[in-house]
Amino acid sequence: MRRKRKNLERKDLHVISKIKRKKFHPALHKISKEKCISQGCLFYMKEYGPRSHVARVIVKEALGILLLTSIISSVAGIGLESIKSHFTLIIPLIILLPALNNAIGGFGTIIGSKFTEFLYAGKIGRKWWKSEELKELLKFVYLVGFVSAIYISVLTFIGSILVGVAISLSMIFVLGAIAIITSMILLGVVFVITVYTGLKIYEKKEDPNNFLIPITTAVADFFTILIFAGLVFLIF
Amino acid sequence: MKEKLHKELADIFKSQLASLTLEMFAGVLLAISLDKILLIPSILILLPGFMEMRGNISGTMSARISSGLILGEVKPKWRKNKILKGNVLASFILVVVDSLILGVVAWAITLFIFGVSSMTVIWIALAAGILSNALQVPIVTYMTFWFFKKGHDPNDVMGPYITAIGDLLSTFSLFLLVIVV
Repeated sequence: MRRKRKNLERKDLHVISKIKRKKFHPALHKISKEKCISQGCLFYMKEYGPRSHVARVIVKEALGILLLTSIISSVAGIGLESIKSHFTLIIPLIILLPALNNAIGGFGTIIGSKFTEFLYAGKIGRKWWKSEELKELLKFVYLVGFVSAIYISVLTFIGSILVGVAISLSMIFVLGAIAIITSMILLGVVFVITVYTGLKIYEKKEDPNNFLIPITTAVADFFTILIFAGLVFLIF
Repeated sequence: MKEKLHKELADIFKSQLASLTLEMFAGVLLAISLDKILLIPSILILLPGFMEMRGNISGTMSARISSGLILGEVKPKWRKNKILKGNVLASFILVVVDSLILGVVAWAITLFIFGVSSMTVIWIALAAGILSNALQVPIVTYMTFWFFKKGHDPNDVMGPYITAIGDLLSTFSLFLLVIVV
C-alpha cells in the first residue's frame, strides 16, 4: 500500500539545508523514511534550499568539469587548424562537421544516461556483458548511428546546395564514408569508456550521471574531430 | 520491459534526427561565414571548445530546472523564481570564466604550435560567449517550461535540441563578432 507523503517541518528543512554537499547525513535517511519524500527530492533541497546561494553552488560544482571538457575540445581544434587549407577547398566538410559532432556527442549522452539507469535498476551486475538491456542498447546505438551517418550525408548534400556549392556523386560517397567510419569507430570507444568509467564510479558510491555525460561527450567530440581530420588528411 | 526500452529509444531517435536537421543550418551558417571567420588566426582551435561549452552550460541548466520542476521545487514562472535566477546568474559567470580561458588556450596554442600571436581571439571568445548565452538562456528556459507544461519530462527531450541550438547560436555569435572586429 502506498504511504501518504507528510509535510516537511521547518526544523527538518533547516537540518537539510545545513548539511554539507559531500556529506551523507543520517537525518536525510530518517526524514525520507518518516515523511515519504524521495532521496532525490531531499538532495535537491540540500543543494538549492532556502539557505543556499544557488549560483555559487552551481559555479563551484560545474566549473572544474566544464573547463576540463572545453579544453579537451580545444586541443581537438588543433586537428581542425591543421586541415584549414582543405576546409576552404571543400565547403561540404564544414556543413558535415557540426552535425557529425552533435550525433556522436548525442549518442555519448544516451549511452551514459541509459547505462546509469540500468545500474540503478540493478540490470547490470559484475558480469555486465551478460546484461540483455545493455546488448539491446548497443544494437540500437549502432543501428541508429549508421542511419544517422547516412542522414547526415544527405543533409550535407542539401546544405551544400543551399550554400550554392556543386557537389559530385563521388564526393557524396566520400562524405558518407567519412561519416559512417567516424561514427562506427567512436560508438565503440564511447561504449567501452562508459562501461569502464561507469562501473568504477558506481563502485565508489557516487552518481555516474554527474561524470559520465560530460566525459562521454568530451571524449566523443575530441575523437570525432581527430578521426575526421585524419580521414580528411588521408582522403584529400 | 524491452518494449518500454524500445519506445524510449525511439523517442530519443526522433529528437536526435530533429537536432541533426538543425545542425545542418549551423553548418550552412559556418560555411557562409567561413571566409570571414578564417581571417582571425586560431578561431578553428576555439570553435570546438566554444560549442562544447555552450551545450554543457545550457544542458546542465535545463537539467537542473527540469529536476526542480519535476520535484515541485521550481515553479514554471519567470518572476520571483530564486532557483531560475540563480541558474541564469551561474550560467553567465561560467560563460565569462570559460570563454576567457578558452580564448587564452586558443591564443597560446596558436602562438606555441603555429607561431602566430593574435590576442583578438580572446576578446572574440568572451564577447561571443556572453552574446550566445544571452540569446540561449531565454530560449532554453522557455522550452523547458513548455515541455514540462505539456506533460513531457524535459530531461528526455531537451538534450539534442540544446546542443543543436547552442551550435547554431555559437556560430552566429562568432560570425557577428568577427564582422564587428
